Amino acid sequence: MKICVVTLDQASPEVIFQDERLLNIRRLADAGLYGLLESVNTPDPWKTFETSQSPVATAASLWTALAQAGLQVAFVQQKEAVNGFADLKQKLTQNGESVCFIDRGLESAPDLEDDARASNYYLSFDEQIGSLMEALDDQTLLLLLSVGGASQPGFFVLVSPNCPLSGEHDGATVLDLAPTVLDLAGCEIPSSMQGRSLVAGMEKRVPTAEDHEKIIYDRLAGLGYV
Amino acid sequence: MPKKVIVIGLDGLEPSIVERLMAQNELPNLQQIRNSGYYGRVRTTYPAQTPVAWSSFVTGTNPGGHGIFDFISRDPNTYMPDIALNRFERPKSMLALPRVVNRRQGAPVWQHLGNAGVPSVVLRCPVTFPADNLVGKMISGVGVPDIRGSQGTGTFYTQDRTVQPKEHEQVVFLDSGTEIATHVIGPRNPKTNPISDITTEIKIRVDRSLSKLTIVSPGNSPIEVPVNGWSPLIRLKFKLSMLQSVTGVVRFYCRSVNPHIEFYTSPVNFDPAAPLFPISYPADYGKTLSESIGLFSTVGMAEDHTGHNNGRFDEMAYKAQCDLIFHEREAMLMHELNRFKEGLLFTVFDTPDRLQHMFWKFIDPQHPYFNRDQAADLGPQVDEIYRQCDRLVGRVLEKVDDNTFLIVLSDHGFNTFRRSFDTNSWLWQNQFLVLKDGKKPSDALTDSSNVDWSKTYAYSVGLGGIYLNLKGREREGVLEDGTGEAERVRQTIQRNLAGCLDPETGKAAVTSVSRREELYSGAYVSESPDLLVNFAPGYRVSWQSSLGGFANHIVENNDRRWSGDHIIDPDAVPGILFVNRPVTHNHASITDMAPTILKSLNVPIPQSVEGKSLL
Repeated sequence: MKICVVTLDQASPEVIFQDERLLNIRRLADAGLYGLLESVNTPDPWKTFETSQSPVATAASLWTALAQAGLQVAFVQQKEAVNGFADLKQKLTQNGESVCFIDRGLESAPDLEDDARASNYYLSFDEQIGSLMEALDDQTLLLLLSVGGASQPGFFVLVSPNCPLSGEHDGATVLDLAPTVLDLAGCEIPSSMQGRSLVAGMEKRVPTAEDHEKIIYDRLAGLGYV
Repeated sequence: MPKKVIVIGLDGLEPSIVERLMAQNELPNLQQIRNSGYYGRVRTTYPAQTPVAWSSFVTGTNPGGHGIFDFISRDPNTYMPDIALNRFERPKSMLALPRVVNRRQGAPVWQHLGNAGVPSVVLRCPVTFPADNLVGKMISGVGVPDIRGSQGTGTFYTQDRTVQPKEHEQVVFLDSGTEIATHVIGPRNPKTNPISDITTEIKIRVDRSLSKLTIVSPGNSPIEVPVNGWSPLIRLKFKLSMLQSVTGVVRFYCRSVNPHIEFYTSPVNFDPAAPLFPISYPADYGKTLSESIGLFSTVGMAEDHTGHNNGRFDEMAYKAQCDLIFHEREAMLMHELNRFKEGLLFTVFDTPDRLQHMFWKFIDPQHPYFNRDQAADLGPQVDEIYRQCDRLVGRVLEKVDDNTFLIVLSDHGFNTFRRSFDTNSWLWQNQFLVLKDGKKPSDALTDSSNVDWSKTYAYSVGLGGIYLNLKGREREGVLEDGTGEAERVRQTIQRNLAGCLDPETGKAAVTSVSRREELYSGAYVSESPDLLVNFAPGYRVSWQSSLGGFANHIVENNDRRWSGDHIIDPDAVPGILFVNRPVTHNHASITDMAPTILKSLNVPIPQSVEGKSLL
C-alpha cells in the first residue's frame, strides 16, 4: 500500500467542509472518513501527530513505524505550491511503495485574513487535490489533515481502499491518526503511541471490481430511434 | 477573401419540401441566398443519420475516416447495443472521476483552422461531447446525456395509481390536496446497492379555478405553469451526500389540474453553468453563455420526443417545446453573431428533424395512422418549421457582409416511416440466425439474449447494420474472417435481402444492401457493420432489431408517433445546400463542406480531407 499524507496546516475547517466550491475536497471526504480533531493539550501538535504522544517523549513515529514495515518513506517539503504537488505525484506514481508527505504550512500560505487571496488559495489547493486524486491508484491511503493549533481546530480526511468506516467521525484527536494509518496499512502500532486506531478491531474491507461496475448507464434510453 | 464563414445547420430539411416552398415564394431568405450564390441537393452519408453525416461534415471524410457509423454500436463481446457517440471510461481508482471520451475520430475542421490560428465558435454540433479543446468556443450537441446518463428520461406525475411507466420514463404518484409535496428525480446514486435515485423535494400548489399549477422549489421563486403550458427551465439542486451536490435544469409541463393533477418534467439536463461532464469549451463558456442568454437545454436530444411518444403531452405541446428549444438555439447563435469578427461560426438546429420525426404522419395520407382531422390541424406545422428556419436565416443575413461566406445546409432529407422491417426476423427466417430452444421471433424477444450464437452467422443491431458473427471478434463467433464461407454468407445476405418485398404491398422494402468496403475507406472501417441495409422510402429498420431483438413479423405497420424518418437508402434522402457565392461544381457531397470552409478562409486543406472545395 502507498501512503500519502498531505497537510494543510492552519486551514479553516469551516472553509474546508462548508465551501461548496471545493469540489475535490468534498469528493475526497465523501469517499472516506472525515471530521474535526478534538484538541489535545500539546505544545507541538505536529510532533504529537507524528508520534501519537503528548507530551512527546520518544523517537518512534508514524514514519519510523512505516519504515520498519518496509515501506519507503519519501518527504516532499512544500515551498512552492505547484512543484510540491508535481513532486508528490511523481514520487507516488514512480515508487512501488512510498510514503509521501507534503507540508503546506503557514509558510507558504498567503495571509488568510485577506479574503480574496485566501479564497484563491483554497481553490487552488482544491484543484491540486483534484489532480492528485486523478493520479492515485486504488492501493493508496490518502490522509489530508491540519493538526490544528491554538487558533484553529484541526481536521482530517482519510481515504483508504480498505477503510471500513466512512462519513463524518466525531471525537477523534490528533493522537489517533498515526495509529489509524498504521492499522490500515497493516503495520504494527508502536506501544509508545497513546492514540487509538479509529478502525481498531474492524474488518478491513477489500474493494472489488463490482464497486465500479455499479456505475452503469442506461445509455440508450430516450434515443428515439430505438 | 472572406474573413468569416457562417454555417447554419438545419437538421433534416428535405429538399422536395424546400423546393416546393421556394416555388411558392415562401422561403424568401433562402431564395435570396440562392440568387446570389447556389442552391442544390447535397449527398449525405451511408447511413443517412445525424451523427454520421455531421461527423463527415466536420472531418471532410467518409465514415471510415471518423469512425461514427450509426447512433448505435454493439459490443462484440456481449452482442449488446450501446450509444456509439461517446463512452465513459471506468475511473482508474475510487478517487478518480469517470472520464467521457468522444468516439468520433479524425480531425474536425476547427482543428485545421485552429492550427492556422483561425478561431471557431461551434454551437451544438452533434458528436462533440465532451467538448473539444479548440481555438475558440464550443457547446456540445447530440450525444450529451441527461443527468442520469441516458439520452433523455422524463417523469410523469399523476394521482392515478394504476398508471404504469412507458418507454424510458419514470412515474411519480401524487397525493391529493391543494398543496402537494413531491420530488424531482435527479441523478442515480451508484454508491447504494441496488442503485438508487437522488431526488430533490418540491411542492405543487394547485389552483383549479385558474387552471394552473405553481411549482415551489428550493432556491427559485414560485413558478406558475398553466394547463397545457411549459415552465421556463428551472435550476434544481440534488444533494448527492452531506458534502456533495449537483445542479440540473428541468422544465415542467402541466397536463391537467381538474379533476386530477397530472404534470410532466423533462429529463433533468446538466446545468450549463455547472455540468457533471465537459459540455463546453472553455469549461466556463456554458456558464458565461447562460448568464447572457438565460438557462438553456444541454441534453443532446433536447426536444422531448419520448414524452410525446408516450402520450404524456400532445402534438401542440411538443411543438411548443420544440419552439422553446429553437429559440434557445437562436439566442445562442445571435449572441455569438453579435460578437463574430473572424473565423468560423457554426450552429446546428436540431428542431426541424425532431419535429418532422413526430409530425410526418400528418402530411402522409398513406401512413397507416394518417387521420384526416389531425392532418388538417397539424400537417401545416411541417411547412411552418421550414418557414421558421427561413426567418432565422433572414436574421442571420442581416449580419452577413461582403467578407462573410454563408452556408446553410441540412445533413439529410426526410421521408415517411410507414412500415418497419425486422432484419433479425429475416435473418432468422433465412437461417442465418438461430434462436435457442426452438424459440420464434414472435415470442416477444426484445433483445438478443435468446440467440444461439454457436449456430448464428449474422445478426443486426443498430439502425440498419448487419454484423457477421466472426471468430476472434464476436465472443461466440462461428465464421472465420476472410474465408470463403464468411464471404458466401455475406454475398447471400446481400443478394437475397436486396429487393426483399413487403408481402402486404408487394413493393420492395429494401432497395439494396451495401458491403462495407463498397462504402468506406480509412482507419476505422473495421468498426463498421459488415453490411448496411438501404431501406426503400416508407420503410425503416424495426424498433426491435435496432436493439438486437425481434418483431412479430418481418414487415409491420409502424404504430408509433415517431412516423417520419430518414434512415433509408441515402440516395433517396439528400440534404439541402445554400451558399452565398457561386460554386465550381454542383454535385456536392457533405464531405465537400470542410474543404470548402478551409478554402474560403485560406487555410490549407490537409491530405486527410477527401471532399473537394466547392469554391
